[in-house]
This record gives sequence, C-alpha cells and structure tokens, in this order.
Amino acid sequence: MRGASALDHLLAEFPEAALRVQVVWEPVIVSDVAAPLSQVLGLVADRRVTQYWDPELVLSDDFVRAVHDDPARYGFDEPLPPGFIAWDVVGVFGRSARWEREPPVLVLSSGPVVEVIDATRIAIAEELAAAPD
Amino acid sequence: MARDARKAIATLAVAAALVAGLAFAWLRLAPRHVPAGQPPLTTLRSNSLPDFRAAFNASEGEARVVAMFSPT
Repeated sequence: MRGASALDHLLAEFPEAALRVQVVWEPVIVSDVAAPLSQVLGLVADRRVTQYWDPELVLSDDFVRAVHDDPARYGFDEPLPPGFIAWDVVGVFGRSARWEREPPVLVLSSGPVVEVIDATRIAIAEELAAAPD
Repeated sequence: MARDARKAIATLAVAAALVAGLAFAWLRLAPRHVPAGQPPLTTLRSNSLPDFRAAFNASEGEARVVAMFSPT
C-alpha cells in the first residue's frame, strides 16, 4: 500500500495537469479476501482517479496475454511466466494512446511503485510537456 | 480438572471462530467509499473489460496512468 500513497503524493505534484488515473486493486496475497476498505481507497484521494476492484484478475490476465502475444511490443524479451500476476506496477500512457483489443504501448511501466516513483514523475512530466499529437 | 480445562479450551475455540467469522463478514460486507470527487468503486469482471477500455479511451488527449495494487 506504500505504492498507492506514493502515487497519490506524486499526483499532488501535478495538481492542474490534464491527467487521468485508473487504480486497480486486485487479490494477490492470502489476506486479499475482499475489495479494499474505505481506508485503503482513501490512500489515493486525487479527484482525477477512478478506482476498480478486480477480483478475477481480468486486467492482469489481459496484460499478460498481450505480452505473451507480442513481448517486444511491451519491452519484454520473452513472454511472462505462467501464473504471472501484474501488480504493484504503474504504467504511463501517452495522450494519443487508445486501448483497443490490445493495451497500448506504454511510455513507462514498471514496479514496485515506490521504487519507480521518480521515473514515473519524469515520464508524466515529459508526457505533459510534449506537444499534442 | 482436566474436564474443566477441555471445556475452557472448547469455549475459547468457539469464541475465536466467532470473532474470525465476524471479522471475515465485516471485511466482505463493510461499505466501501472512495474519496470525494471520484466515481464510485467499480468491480471489474471478465465481461467488463470493454468498459475499462472505454473509460481509458474517453480521456484521449490527456496523459493517463494505470496502477495495480494489492489492497493489504
């Protein structure tokens, strides 16, 4: 949950930016028996955020499938291992990105979030500074 | 004496099970509120990925961030 707090602090550094954030909570460890409580949801308080509970890991599975189909497109050398769960990760997408059947290519994707928060800050700042397509 | 001890252990076990059950029920059923200004918490299902993608695409023209976390 430190990652969620770090993300919220990062968003506060861009208070007026045209930025949308989707935060997905998913059951990964044995104690994740239910959707996050209000206290946990409150860790990411920015108004530009939409929060989701993904009990079936459908988003993680979709990412893993997409990487499996085309690892190089997402910066991987090979497909992710069977049973891999994408979590404690953050992805930054460009302003022109569209999500059709496959997730769009990311400007940055990595984790654990607390360890990549500086890189995330740079990626967001660069994307905001870039001229619109 | 041994009988009293067994009875006490059984009582404690029942009490512990009750507490665990209540805690589990509370975890499952407690209301979830997102911070003010955010849309309500949405549960993703296998058939709701298109809605997630549509929400992502609705903000085309803005930088976007997707983050995935465990809640505990």
